[in-house]
Amino acid sequence: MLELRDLRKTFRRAAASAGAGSRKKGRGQAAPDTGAHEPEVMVALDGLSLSVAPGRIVGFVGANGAGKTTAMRIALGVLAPDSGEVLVDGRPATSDDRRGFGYMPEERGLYPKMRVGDQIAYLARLHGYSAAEAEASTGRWLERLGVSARRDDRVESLSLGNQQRVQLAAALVHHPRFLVLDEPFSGLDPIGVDVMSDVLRSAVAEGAGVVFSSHQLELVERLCDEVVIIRAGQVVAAGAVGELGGSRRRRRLSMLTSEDPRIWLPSAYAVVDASIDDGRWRSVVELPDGVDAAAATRAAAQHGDLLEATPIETSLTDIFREVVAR
Amino acid sequence: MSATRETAQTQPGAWRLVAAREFNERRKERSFYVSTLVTLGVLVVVLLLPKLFESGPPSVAFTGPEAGAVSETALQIAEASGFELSISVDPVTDPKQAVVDGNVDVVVTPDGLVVKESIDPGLQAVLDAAVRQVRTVDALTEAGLSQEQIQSALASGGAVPVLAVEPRDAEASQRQGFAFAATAILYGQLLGYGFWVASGVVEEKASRVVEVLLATIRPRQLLAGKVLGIGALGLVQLIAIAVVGIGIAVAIGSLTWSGALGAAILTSFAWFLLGFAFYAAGYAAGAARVSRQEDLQNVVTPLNLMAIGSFFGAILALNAGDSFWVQVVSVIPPFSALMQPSLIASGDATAWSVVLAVVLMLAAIVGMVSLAARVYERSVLRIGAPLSLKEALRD
Repeated sequence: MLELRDLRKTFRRAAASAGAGSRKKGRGQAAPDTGAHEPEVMVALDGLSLSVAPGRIVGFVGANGAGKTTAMRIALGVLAPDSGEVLVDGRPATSDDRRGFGYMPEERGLYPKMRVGDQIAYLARLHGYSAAEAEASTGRWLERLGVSARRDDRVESLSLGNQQRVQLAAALVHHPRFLVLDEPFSGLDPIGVDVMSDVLRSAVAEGAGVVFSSHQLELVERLCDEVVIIRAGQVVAAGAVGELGGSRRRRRLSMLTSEDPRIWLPSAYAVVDASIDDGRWRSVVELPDGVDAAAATRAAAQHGDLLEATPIETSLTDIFREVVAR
Repeated sequence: MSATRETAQTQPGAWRLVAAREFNERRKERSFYVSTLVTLGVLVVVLLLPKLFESGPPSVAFTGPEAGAVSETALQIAEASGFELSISVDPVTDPKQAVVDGNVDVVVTPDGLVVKESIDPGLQAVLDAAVRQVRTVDALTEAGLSQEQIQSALASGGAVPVLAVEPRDAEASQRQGFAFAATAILYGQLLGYGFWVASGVVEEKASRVVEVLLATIRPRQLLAGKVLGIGALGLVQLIAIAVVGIGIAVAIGSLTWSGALGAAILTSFAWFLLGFAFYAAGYAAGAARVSRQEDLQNVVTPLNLMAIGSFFGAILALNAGDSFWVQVVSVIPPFSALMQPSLIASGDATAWSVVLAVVLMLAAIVGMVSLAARVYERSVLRIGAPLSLKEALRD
């Protein structure tokens, strides 16, 4: 189990855009103006916790500047938190533990002039492999990712898609226990997305724990067992993909009735959309707090002639918008 | 996964992997071959050119009734004073034409010396003495002295002994030449390989590979590996240049092998290592503060200026090695890195100044390396506008 526990991290403004490691400006949220902070201090992480169990894929979601990259860098030991800790199997992570992590930074990172095979083998050795193990594993991964023909080419001569595959090989070559991937899907074509998805699924099948950040929420929904949504360095929603946000997930009901529900439905239910279609009313109703779809269906059946009721599945995108915009 | 844990124990220090990568990747780079070949090419040209234009000893023709006696005497005097000349046996009918045509350099006639433009003062002295001696012998013979009396009179005059109060040893000029070449090559190596460290640091930042690396090793290991790997390659190249250059110089007779020369060479290697440790750490610290190669020049300029200052200091040391200020500046780091080899090669170094220079340089290296490690650790992950040194050192 890989756990980030109660991480806090601030950057000075000058360092913030740089410290968050991005060309994007305005990374890290400005501290709430309580007067307790100097105005130049940016809070990147504000008590963030998350955990990744072996065999699970965790999606790490948040708006730009929410602190995802900072959290991942701290997990890898590339950055030190101001407070909080990174635990592996309940103990503070050691550098030996971290050699067993695989990492794919957001901006990618390979030596442009180094040959593909040399590069992957070098990284495998830095992760603790012997020269022979490194060579063998490099060959396997390049083969598996379909870039073995480019083994002796310089990285800069590869297409972007192939560079991404090499980058993935770099993260996987040492058979990591935990994979920490910052925006692994960004810039991939649909085939690349499939390759990446397959590789992540099989890594998890072999017992690895995976956490990746992404803005492609339908992908996160499809691939992940769990999702963590953060905003301004804090977790605002977390849980299994199917249960995320609890009641929020089934807060709307689509109904088919013989009469206009706006007339007979109790006022606690907000009818957001109603139209008559072939003599029947099709409507969408927002449920009040504490009322689930089943209770709402019973209530509607008591008050009117309910022909059909279907809970509306809220997509991760809807949840994301809701929790991040709050 | 278990393999990772087991082999983590047995892998060599991570800095060794980094150093090996730096050494091997750069060894394969075209610029390494080009710089090696260019340096060797320049060296060969510098060594061989004087040989190509060397004309040998001046040739002298003698005319007139005393030609035989004067030429014989001139040869004796030349030999006694270590002056080389060759005597042209071709008959000279027109002395002026002969020197204009370049058949001979000097024609000695009963009326005087005929030359094209001017005459070497040493040669003039030899020929002048020879003509005077022949005339003296003639006069003494005419005055009725016997050959024995004349010989003893000439011999008692003998050569006037010279007492050199501050003798320049015989190797002085070759030492100067070696010292100059060593200084120029060391300067090139320090700047070239120091800059390689700098651009390597920026390459890792610009390509973001540094993030992947720092997920497995500490910044200090990365810095140490980079400096040591590139430094090792610089030393290998320096040794190759030295072996080829000195081999050629000794083979063609420009340089005579001696213990002093060997010591000067080893000293140069040692000072390369000391100087490189200082400059490479400085270049790495400067480079860690920027994220793009375009910004690199600004942050390395102070170091470049130091190196250029040291180079001129070393040139000054070649010509005025015993001056007070040269002696003082030559022990101050980092000037010592280029000035000490120059002083040692030219024979102007004193034992205490060598020891002091080494001690001060080691102290400066310790300071520079720890400063560099701090700056590097704090700024290597900060991508964006160049950081000021103050920002880089702040927690």
